[in-house]
Amino acid sequence: MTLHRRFEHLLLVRDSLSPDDRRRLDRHVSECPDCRESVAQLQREKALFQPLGNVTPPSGIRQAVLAASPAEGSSWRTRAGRFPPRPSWPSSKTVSRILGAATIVAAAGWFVFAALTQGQQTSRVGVGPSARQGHPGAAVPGGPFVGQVGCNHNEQITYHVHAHLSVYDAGKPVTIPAYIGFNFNHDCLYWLHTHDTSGVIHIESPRAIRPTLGTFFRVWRKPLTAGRVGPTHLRPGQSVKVYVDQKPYFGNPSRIVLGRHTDVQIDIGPPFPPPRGFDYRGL
Amino acid sequence: MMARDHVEVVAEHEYTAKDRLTDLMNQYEQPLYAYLLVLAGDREVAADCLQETFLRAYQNLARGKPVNGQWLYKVARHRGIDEHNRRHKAQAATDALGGASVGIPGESAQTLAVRAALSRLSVSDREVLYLSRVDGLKAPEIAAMLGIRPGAVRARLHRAHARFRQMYGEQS
Repeated sequence: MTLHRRFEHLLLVRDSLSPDDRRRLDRHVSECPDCRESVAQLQREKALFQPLGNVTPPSGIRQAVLAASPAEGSSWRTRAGRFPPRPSWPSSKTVSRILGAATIVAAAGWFVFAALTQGQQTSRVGVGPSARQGHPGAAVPGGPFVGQVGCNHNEQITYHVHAHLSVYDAGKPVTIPAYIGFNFNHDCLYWLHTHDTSGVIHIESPRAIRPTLGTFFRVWRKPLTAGRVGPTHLRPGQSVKVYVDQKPYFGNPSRIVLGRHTDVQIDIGPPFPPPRGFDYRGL
Repeated sequence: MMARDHVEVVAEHEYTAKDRLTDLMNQYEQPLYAYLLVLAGDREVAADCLQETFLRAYQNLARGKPVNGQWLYKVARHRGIDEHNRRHKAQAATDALGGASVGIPGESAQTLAVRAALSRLSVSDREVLYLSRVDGLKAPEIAAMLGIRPGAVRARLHRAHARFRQMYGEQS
């Protein structure tokens, strides 16, 4: 009995055993009916625990935290390598007030969203034992989120629109690679991705999202900065012009929202070719 | 002139602390809340601790300090345990912690029984059980998170499991 208790102890930490010890343990279990019953019991108990991980946090927390965080513009890592001063933090009462206000805003937003997506099913795909089900933005844990863009094993088509990006370097087109957003390490597909080199950005997600061009570059894992646009480094004397839907864009390009048929053209010049537009026929 | 404006605007926007915070919240908000719910045994306390954890994360990020999942779990754990101890003192007259707000509305009776059994374990017992059985962490990973030796994790896990069986058996 003592022997079997010891084996049960080992069963609990089987994953942490050395390969040799694991093989010996498995060999013993295969020859020991009592131990097999212990394994079955442990598996039943493991199943008991699983629902504990499938809870949804209160909806207001995210908004409250983000609202309580100082405004953007204080870059985390500036080009000069300096960090912004430590922000002052609101009192818990202030946070509570923000939480209340954020909850109201979130509820209103939800109703609008629900009205807009009436009839659509916002499927949640959780693959794997530790998938975060029940979370509005749940994706498989293997693929880390980039902004609000998750990474799933399967294509998400509840929300499915296309945008387009073209980049010109001194008037010559820069190829936007195929398979941006295909995360082969985690075997998942980001909700923002490309299938070919046409520059078409597929936005396919389990819910309506408003990704930005900055998010796309982060999925691409290429910078969008003063000195670099994706793979292209600016040379001395060059600068950047941006067009959205064939109109000059004067804001921060990272913040361009990619919606249905948004067409972004980035010119690195001179020369600066005029906006060419994109034919979305069939998309 | 237009081009210069563009360049300056682009230069300002790199990966900000808020971007990083958003990424972290997307990835860890739900699992941390589930962890805190088991640790603290109360929905409101878990939500408060979660909020404070992410606010502290932002504080660190804004100062240029790195924040990762292990850091978040450590901070959340300390907050959860502090709150648990504070409430334990406040509710010294009652036997069990948590009470009505332990569970999540809509959970099965079986899950509620598991939560109730866990709430009768010590914090250290329930957290190793949770990290092992729900988050699927191995003993060395739990050890790194809790700052103890892997051998101690194994012993604690064994003890916690035996106690859980006893408590759960009494519940059902």
